[in-house]
Amino acid sequence: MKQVDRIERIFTRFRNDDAPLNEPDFDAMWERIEQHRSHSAGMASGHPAAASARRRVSRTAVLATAAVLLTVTPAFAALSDKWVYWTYHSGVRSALEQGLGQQIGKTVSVGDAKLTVDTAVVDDNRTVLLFRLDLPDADPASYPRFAEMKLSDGKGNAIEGNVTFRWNPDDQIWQGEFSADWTPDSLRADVRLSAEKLQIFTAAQRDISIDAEDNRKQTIEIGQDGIDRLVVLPFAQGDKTLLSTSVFFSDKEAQSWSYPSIGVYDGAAQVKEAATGVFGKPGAEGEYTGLQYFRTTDLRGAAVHYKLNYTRKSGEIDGSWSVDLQLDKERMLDGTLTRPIDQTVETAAGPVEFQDMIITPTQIRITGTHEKYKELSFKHFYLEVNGTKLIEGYPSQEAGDYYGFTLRFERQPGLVLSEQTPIALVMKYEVTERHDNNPIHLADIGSGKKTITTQLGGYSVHWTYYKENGNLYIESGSDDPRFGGVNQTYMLDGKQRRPGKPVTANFAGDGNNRAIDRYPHFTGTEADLYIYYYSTDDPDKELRIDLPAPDRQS
Amino acid sequence: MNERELFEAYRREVYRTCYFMLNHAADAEDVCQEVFVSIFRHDWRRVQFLRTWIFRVTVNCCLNYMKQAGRRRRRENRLQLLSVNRAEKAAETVAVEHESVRDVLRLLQRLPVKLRAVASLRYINDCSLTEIADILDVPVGTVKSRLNKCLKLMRKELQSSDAETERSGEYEASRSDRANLYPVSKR
Repeated sequence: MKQVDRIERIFTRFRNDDAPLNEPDFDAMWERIEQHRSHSAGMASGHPAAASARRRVSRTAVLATAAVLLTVTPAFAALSDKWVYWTYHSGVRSALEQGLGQQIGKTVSVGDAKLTVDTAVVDDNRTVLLFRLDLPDADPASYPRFAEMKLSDGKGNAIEGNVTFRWNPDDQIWQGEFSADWTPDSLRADVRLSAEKLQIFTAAQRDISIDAEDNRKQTIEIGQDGIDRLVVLPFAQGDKTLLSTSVFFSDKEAQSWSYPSIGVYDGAAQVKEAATGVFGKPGAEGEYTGLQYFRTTDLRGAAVHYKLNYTRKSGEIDGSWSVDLQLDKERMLDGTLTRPIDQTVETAAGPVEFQDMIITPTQIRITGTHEKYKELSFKHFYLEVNGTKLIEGYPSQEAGDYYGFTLRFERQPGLVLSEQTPIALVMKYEVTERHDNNPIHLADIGSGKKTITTQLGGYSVHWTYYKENGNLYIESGSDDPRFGGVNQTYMLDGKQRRPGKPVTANFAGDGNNRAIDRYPHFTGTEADLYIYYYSTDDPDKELRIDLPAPDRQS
Repeated sequence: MNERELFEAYRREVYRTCYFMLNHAADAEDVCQEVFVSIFRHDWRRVQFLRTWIFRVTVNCCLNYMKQAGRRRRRENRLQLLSVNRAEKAAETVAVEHESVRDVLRLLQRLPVKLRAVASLRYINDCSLTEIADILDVPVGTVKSRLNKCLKLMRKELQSSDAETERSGEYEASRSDRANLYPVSKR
């Protein structure tokens, strides 16, 4: 066999493999991304998030019903109260409220920087450590980060986790949370939390002078915080002005955290950009490039001035912090129980079997199976626990498992479960996948936009098509919101399917049925277009499943 | 479309690209997460060519990641391990890979970074030449010439690994497996 054929076959076999890669836990990744974003939002406002109104609700009820609270010491209650208002996991807050956190209270210092691990929350599938970082002259407008923070188990295996910080204005310290989707195999386990090199970042600005109407390269020497110079090239594009920027760094490390962009200010107010910019693409010399669009009229005000906005490293402690801990999850597991559900329901994506409900002190998980490769046809999920609505519950799958799914719901502080507590799973917004093999004929294809209307399953669908820069663009959509959208189109080249490249990202159940596909290098004037599938939306469809209540308090 | 849905739509493609660019599952997971953090930091809803832009961010994040000195050192250590015995791989990756992944890794792992980016986009993500040109911001001609170089190097890699297998006396045993792996439609 020719080597080129072998190469082609290797890649084809990879692409045809259903699940060649063992993929990471994307749900955990999403949680970390959300935490990062929540944190960023908190940083931007400069204030910690407001205390949850729920955090003090029903404390009495918890005391009355959770037997395990009898073990809570007043000292611990006071300590855990520091944490409840900011940890991102409401389930962790819930466990702390129930006195299920494990008090650690160990401090290690490098110079004046003190790291204190206060509390651990370890349940059947995650470990959360709550710590404090006490720095001299800590600045709430800054943001700390350890270059590396990890747990090591008794065998020295590293357990990566997500680390977030938030400023506590009362105590004037940083509070941190290390969260890993890992739990010890045994009830008790010796672990080490280690952190390396503490870096402090702050937002920075620098006045710059740009002539946005001069379509020539303008070089601005910066010479600070690792930034050498900024090169700006303005382009007039209709009623917009594009500022194409290149930032050259003298300190290459600064390039990874600097995030430079141009801020346009009219007096004190920042001018909103006219379109989404693109940042971070390395230029020919490895420089950091950016594209920013502004309305030209916005740049013509008398008070308009420019700044270079970026992040700079304002401090660093090159040290190692390391704390040995013994994690104990016994009490948490005592409060964990599994109840079989064993109910099958019919949905638009076939029968779905709900198997178990696992109730832990931090979360309620529901496991089930659907048909191979199918997704759940419902798109919104929540749990109703005695009138309290627990949202989230995005279905997640284990890598390589084409049938199983898990819905996870974080418990909320004050949520009391007893034998009689009614729990129901509510699924809403059903999306049905449908097929239609009839081609859609596109005639007289040219640079002018043309629109035709066809019928798909009783829905009027508009197809608008035109050529631009050698590409054929085909937009589909319907005025009827119950039409969910066309997922992707293709043309036939003999028997070979030639799929269009989706320009838009089309998602089931997003209420948007407009999609655009692009066919590069299209030279014809006519085409027959096919669709892989389309979907119909039923936003009001609701399926409620009453779940068996736990048979004991948890 | 909300952020969660964008994440679900592109997470697999982004992770695969990171995986083959970095040749390391844990690094790929970190960078994949960084890609989405970076995407959400921008007003992505107004990006005209979303998929192209997402790939551009992905490739850039991988390149930045590799540039960082500490990681590069660790990576070089891994590559040294690989060059000692190509059949042996870092323990953290060998346990999790399917055969189809191992074959692809064998072809891609020794390509220089720029070529690996082109080959990953073309062969793993099925991007067109113009899409790759858009993503990497290079002319289509450059993409073509890089792909040619990729093919040359990958051919060499196959030849040398065949020769090595033959030398180690395992060729006959593995050839029958190979026939099963690559079904031939015409005889």
